Amino acid sequence: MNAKPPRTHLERVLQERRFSITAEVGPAKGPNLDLIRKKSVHCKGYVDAAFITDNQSAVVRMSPVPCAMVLKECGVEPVVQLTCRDRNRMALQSEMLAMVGAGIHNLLCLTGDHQSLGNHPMARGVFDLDSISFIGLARKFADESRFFNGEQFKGAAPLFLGGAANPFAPPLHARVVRLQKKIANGVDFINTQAIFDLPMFDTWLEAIKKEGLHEKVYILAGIVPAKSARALAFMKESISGVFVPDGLITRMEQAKNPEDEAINWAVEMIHELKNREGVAGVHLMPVMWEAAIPEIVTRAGLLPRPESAPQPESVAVR
Amino acid sequence: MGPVARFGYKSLVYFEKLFKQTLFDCRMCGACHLSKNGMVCCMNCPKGLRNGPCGGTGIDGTCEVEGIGECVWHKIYRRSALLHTLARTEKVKPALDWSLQGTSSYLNLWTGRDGSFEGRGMRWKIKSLLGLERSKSTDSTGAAP
Ligand code: SF4
Ligand code: SF4
Repeated sequence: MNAKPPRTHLERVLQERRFSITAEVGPAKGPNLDLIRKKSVHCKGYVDAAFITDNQSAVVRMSPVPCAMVLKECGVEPVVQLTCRDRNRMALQSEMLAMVGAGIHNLLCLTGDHQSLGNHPMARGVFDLDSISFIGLARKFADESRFFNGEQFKGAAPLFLGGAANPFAPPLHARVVRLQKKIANGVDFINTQAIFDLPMFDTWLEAIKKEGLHEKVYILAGIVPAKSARALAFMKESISGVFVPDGLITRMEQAKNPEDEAINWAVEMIHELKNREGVAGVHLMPVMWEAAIPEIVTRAGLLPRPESAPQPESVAVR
Repeated sequence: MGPVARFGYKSLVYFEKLFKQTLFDCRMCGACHLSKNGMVCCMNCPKGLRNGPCGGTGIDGTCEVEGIGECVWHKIYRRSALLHTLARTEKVKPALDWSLQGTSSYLNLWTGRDGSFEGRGMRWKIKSLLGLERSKSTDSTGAAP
């Protein structure tokens, strides 16, 4: 995974083995691009890249590509997330053309939460592809400038490709196999589901390392700082694939200043994860609490962040 | 297709549907993975995933969608372990060709329309096993159909 010259700033940071820090930025639930500009302030200079979510938790929001374009204008490296829930292979490719056309070369390929979990449970889920075949499609698109059907298009479309992994969902064997399949289809980095339980995460990491997968893909560990014990309890109840130990909820309940405690916890997690072989960076997903990012990054001692070098020729805006 | 062939084909589809819907809750995707997936139909997953479970499986193995119960892929791995066919779940499966929906997966397997045996189908496999297939150039692209 080191052979090629980096396609994006994020890839460069990871290639240089600088412990990367990234964050998630949710678009507005309304026709409001200024929200991205506001949120970019919490990211600029603090994170290596910000991920723009795609109808996260199956709730309708602004489409990710224009948001990523605004984020880029604001001087923050964007990563576009696209899900197979809302788009078939044709729509996914047209979004990919749009993002590459706008000079955005980081893509996170997801299956997406089921529509029944969101605010439009009556919607038809697309699920034309699964995330694994989406990654395969994107790899071919990026490396060979070909569409899914094999047709060639003009121009290069380099992409730094990501996928997701949930270290906590059973069976463990399936999780390892799925990661192997993603790697076989050409994924470059992996975002994990929010980690609350370190021993469980370690079990997964060991299984991954046994297969040597951590050397084939950059693993970005997910951290969700939650403002309050209530927010944590809510996540435990209603966000699929997240496992919150009761101990953490009690800790947050007993804290005098829960927000401060949440930041403390996130910093502790970062220190823990930083010491683990195979973890290439952390990915912060503060739910509606982007303002916490600078504080967490500062207290974790991860500043200053690597400067973004001028884009290499092959990736320069055409 | 002539009327006789058409009748024959429709009967094949009818009986396939009857048989597999009763036993496996088949959705007639046209490219059957039952034998690769421990005889559990992956199209029963609410997302129709063909390569493994999504990230939403609960810690107890339940599906993130209400009313499904055990995650279909959790079941596939459980059954595959029982049948000692776990290795079959480990191969990357191509994206489904949705134009096959409603067609007979048995016939598609025979002709290779579902991409089986690099698109050459079971008939090629059987012929080659019997030594009837002359060794013509077989460098198939292996691409999805
Ligand atoms: S995999 Fe397709 S053909 Fe096989 S049982 Fe399921 S829906 Fe039917
Ligand atoms: S939890 Fe299992 S059955 Fe449910 S959508 Fe995900 S993979 Fe499919």
